[in-house]
Amino acid sequence: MSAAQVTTPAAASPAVGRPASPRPWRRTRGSVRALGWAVPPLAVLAAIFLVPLAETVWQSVTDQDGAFKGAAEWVRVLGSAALLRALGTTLWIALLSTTGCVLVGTFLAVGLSFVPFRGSRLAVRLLEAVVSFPSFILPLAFGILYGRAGVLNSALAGLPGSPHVDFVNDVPGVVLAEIAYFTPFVVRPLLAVFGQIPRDLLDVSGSLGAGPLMTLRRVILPAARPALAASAGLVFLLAMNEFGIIMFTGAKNVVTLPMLIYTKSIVTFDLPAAAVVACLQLALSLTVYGLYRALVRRLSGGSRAAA
Amino acid sequence: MSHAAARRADGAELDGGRPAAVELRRVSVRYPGAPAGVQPALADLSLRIEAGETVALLGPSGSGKSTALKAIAGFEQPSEGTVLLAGRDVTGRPPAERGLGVVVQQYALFPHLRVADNVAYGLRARRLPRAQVRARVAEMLEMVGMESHARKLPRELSGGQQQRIAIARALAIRPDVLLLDEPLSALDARMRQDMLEELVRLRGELPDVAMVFVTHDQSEALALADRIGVMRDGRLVDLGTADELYHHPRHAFTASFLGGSNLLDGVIEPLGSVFESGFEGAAPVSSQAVSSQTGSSQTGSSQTGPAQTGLGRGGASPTFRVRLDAGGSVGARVADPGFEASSTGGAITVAVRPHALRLLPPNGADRAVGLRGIVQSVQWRGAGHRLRVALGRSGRDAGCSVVVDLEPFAAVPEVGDSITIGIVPGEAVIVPRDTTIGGLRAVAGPASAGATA
Repeated sequence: MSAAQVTTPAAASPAVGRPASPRPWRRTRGSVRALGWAVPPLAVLAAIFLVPLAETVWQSVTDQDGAFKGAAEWVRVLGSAALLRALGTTLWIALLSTTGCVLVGTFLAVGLSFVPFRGSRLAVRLLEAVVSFPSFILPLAFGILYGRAGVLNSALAGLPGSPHVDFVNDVPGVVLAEIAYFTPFVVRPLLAVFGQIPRDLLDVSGSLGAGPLMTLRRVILPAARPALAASAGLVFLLAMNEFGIIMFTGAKNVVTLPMLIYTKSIVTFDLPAAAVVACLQLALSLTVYGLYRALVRRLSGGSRAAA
Repeated sequence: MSHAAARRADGAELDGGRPAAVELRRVSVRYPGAPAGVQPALADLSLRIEAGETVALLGPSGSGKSTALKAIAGFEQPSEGTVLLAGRDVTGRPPAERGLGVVVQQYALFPHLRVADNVAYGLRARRLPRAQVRARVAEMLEMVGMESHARKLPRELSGGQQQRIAIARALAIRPDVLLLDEPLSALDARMRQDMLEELVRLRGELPDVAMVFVTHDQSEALALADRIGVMRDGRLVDLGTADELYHHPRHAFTASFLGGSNLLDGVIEPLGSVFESGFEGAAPVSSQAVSSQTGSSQTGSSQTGPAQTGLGRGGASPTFRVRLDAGGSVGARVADPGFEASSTGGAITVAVRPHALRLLPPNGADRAVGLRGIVQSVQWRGAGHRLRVALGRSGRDAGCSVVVDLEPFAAVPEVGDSITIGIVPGEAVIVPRDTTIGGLRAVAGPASAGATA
């Protein structure tokens, strides 16, 4: 028999080579069941997230009476100097806070990881505990300690010339409070990364003649780069959206986007303008988040491959 | 053996007082937080290593060999003792000030640096001019045959290639001492063999560099080292050339760990049991010197003290007749010149390597004089077969068994067969009895397993 003659019914059928497909009715039933599981969480998500978002967007294109106005409100708000100032302040404070957190956090994490001292575990726990505090606690404490009528100024008042410090109710106060509150977000991932650096790498670096600083710069920090970038991105995002700290700092001159939304919606009842700023804030947050995710993916992918 | 080792195999100072490349004086390392009374990681280690000499520290896991290396490198601070490099006390100095080349088990290449940058790391730490760094990196990469991989990242290299880079990086700084901490253990068997040959070649190219080589693999130590230090429980048990330790082990642990000797407890026979053949029932070919178990006193020369002849391996070691606890008796030589049979009360251990045991013909004349036993297992090992044999007529005493490596083409018995074993003359060595190595005693299987632990 020639090869051409060896033709079985199965080989001749169009389904040759495919795995046997499940029966159609079974597949349909599976899909319905999957949909049944998906609907409740989707409904909850829509109720608490999508609908309010849609409502916010809708508010931004309607007037106070709910009549559709198109992009008129957007044009008005986007053209205002107040918005540009708030946007600039928001980004500036977020940048300063992130830089401060990265510097302080790296310093703390390096110390806690590589400089053994009694009580280091307790120090780590205390740092972690800061995250569990409400964010406004820190500016409140800053105000009590370093505010115009705070403990420090009261003490200084007795000195000749009555020197005083006055930074709490302005950008420096906000930045300091944010650094204090967000630094644990940098320390924790760095501690995890530093804990995974093989001791051999540090030993070999030392044996090759590198001092602690060179080892930090050439071995430790490169290993921590993904975690550092990720935590910096997270802190920037959180600082950009921070409201409680600025509110409790009492810094009238510090108007960030969240503060502007608060003013427009609660103080002046300009809900369409507040909605426009909220949409802008949302878009900004999503953009930063997208960049953050891309950065994390790229860096962690590189480090995984290197591992 | 390198010229340095040929100059001095005993560790004594030569060259008119020239300081050793590495010297450890009673160094102990106790880890912080270790409870009092616990054996230190390294206890009272004294060792001298000359320039150009290779010393292997051999021992099972937890024996302290890596700790010794770390104490030399400065990675661990000794709790007691002194570390000297070329006569300079560096005990409290950080690793960066010791100028040693170190290659660790997993190579520890910096993952984010390219191969050339890894090799250049130590040179840049020393702030050498760029041109000098480039030239030295090229030289090192050429030496290890990796010049075409300079732009690659470590993750793009195989284990063997990474190891070459780690060696190149360690040697780039021109160290006087190279420390190698189990550098071959992360490689597969084939690669390990290739790299071992590579290390032997490198050794030849670096005649003035002292090497300290930590390994748990006796074959690596035998191939590379001028002297071998056998370590156990944080202590240096034995130190000597490979030949000395292999053929004249002074301790039961050394005999067991280096070559997987069977350890058979026995008693040196009293006055009058002098014989001269070395052992009875020694070879399957009965023409070899075989004396009867019962009538072994052939020379008739009587002595005071234990029976002894001068016919050991090479005729230099005193040989005693030993009655084994497992039955039978053997002629065994003493490896340690300082050994005094009277000090042991006659109770000693005989170390016999698996390849020195031979099956005696079932119906041969030698059958009456050998060790009897039952085959417990037969293992094919490619070149030959390895048997585990429970000694005794019934084989029920499983606590006393020996391992026998059959010669190629020898007839292979089956499990359960009753056999008689002889020992090649001159291959049984008396070592002091050491009850602390019960796990290895009379069971060469664990002993050889210990060699790869």
